[in-house]
Amino acid sequence: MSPPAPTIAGTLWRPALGFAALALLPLVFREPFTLGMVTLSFIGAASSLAWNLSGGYAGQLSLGHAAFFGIGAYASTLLFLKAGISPLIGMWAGAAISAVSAAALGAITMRLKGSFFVMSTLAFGAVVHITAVNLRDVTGGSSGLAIPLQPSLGNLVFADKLAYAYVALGLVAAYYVLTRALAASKIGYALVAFRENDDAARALGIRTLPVRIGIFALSAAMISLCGTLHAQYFLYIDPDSVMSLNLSLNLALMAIVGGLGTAHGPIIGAMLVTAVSFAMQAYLGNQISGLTQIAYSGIVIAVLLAAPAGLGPALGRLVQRRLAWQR
Amino acid sequence: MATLKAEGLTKRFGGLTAVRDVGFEARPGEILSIIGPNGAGKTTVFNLLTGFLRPDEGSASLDGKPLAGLSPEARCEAGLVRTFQIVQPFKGLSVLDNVVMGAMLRAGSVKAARIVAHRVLEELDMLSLLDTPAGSLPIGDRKRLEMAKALATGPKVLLLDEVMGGLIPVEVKRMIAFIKGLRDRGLTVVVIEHHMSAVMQLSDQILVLQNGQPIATGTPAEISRNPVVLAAYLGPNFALAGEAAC
Repeated sequence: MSPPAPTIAGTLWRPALGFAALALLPLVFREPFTLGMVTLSFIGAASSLAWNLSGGYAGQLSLGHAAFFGIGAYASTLLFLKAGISPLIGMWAGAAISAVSAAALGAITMRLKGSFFVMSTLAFGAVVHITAVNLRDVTGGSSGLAIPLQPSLGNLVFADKLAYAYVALGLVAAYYVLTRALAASKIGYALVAFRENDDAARALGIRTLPVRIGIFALSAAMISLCGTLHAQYFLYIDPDSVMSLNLSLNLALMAIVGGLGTAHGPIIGAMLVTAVSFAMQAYLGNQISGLTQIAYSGIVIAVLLAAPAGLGPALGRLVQRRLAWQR
Repeated sequence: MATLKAEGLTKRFGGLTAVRDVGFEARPGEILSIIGPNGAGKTTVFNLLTGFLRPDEGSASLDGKPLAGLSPEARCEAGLVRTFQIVQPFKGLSVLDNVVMGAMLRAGSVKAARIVAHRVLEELDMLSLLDTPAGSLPIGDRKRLEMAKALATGPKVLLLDEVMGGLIPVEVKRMIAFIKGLRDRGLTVVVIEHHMSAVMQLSDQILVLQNGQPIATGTPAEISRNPVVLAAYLGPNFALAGEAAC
């Protein structure tokens, strides 16, 4: 596990290069199917970056973050459909609701240790999911909600799907910068101290609880914005697509595969996980049902056996070795 | 500068009384050693003082202010800091970052904390280890790191739990000199130690525990001649033999 980023300056060229490469992807993969893959991998990367702040840096694995994603999607969509409020405003309402509910949840459950905390987030995710299914009058239940296709910036609806890819990439960039800044601050250190050794942190006077609750709320708000973007991209939401346990697991998986508690890990993980799942659907999708999932989990296990700390750190070491070799 | 006072500290774990009626006063510029056989309750006393455990009876105060009800974090803020007998490094982090964690308590920013951490590591002669992951340090360096982390918080009272354990003689000698230096700076130092020669060289006062109870207090010279202490450490027959020889 790598220490918190020592300094921000001096290592900026590598991320800049990375983002330049990411910015080319939507132009290279212009086919609707592949553009969809790129866009969803960006939304996934932003979501996983949000998850990683709490799940990676503080090591508090949440399996309920889909609830906040869903709250974001439903808040902006409902405000738009029922009150005509632009999703550009509605998404902040969703973020606020997510942040407040995360703070309330965290204040209770963050006193729990290890797997007990994980279970509590799992329960929270399930409760929100079931509530969304059953509140038919408001959410439309399992039949979901459709957003009318009226392209305009105010509606956050675009005729050209390319726009979504770049909006999502903008979000990824913003979250990456935020993650780097937080990791290098006292907040980042406090989170890592808690993850590495709670008792040692307390003995050194580091109050991690308020920091962890605050970051959990921030992470929920951030992922909530991703939910709104997801809704605007598909123009349709239902509880299974924006609140399922599967989504929560995927967010965690992206960060774990890419490298927990690193700023670039969730991005690498999201690209890989999304690409693999799209490839599986394309080549195996219509064969035997369930084969996709089996192949998918096989790949994930292979990655984690080869690089237990995630692909991001493994790639980093490879690059460093190459550079050292050249010198 | 602060005086740490404990009165009547008692802690029971179910039917076992781990600590019974322990009291002492540790003053600035003095080193108080707590000694006793394994299982005497020494570390439990530290846990009670630092708020990791709550006493069933008794109380502790820092400069007259009661510590009851304060969390470990709050006690550290008040200037009371400990090291752990089983060292607790942040294993995945570098030596520097470990010490930065301690320095953050009184530093306004990570940058300021780094400066403090550098200074502390320099004092402990650890500057060559800055970037080494704490998890890969040998035990002697881990003990010094434990000390560095605690010092970086800017304590008034330092509780050291067996910082000599596992050190080679040269390291013990340096550690003794270092702890004396801290005392001379006006820190209040309480040490738990098994290394008897170190205890005798360091201590201004010694408190001896056996089965959770204080059995003797005094200066090193008094303690080394105390028959009750000799009996506790070496067995009653040995103590009697010692008396007979005198």
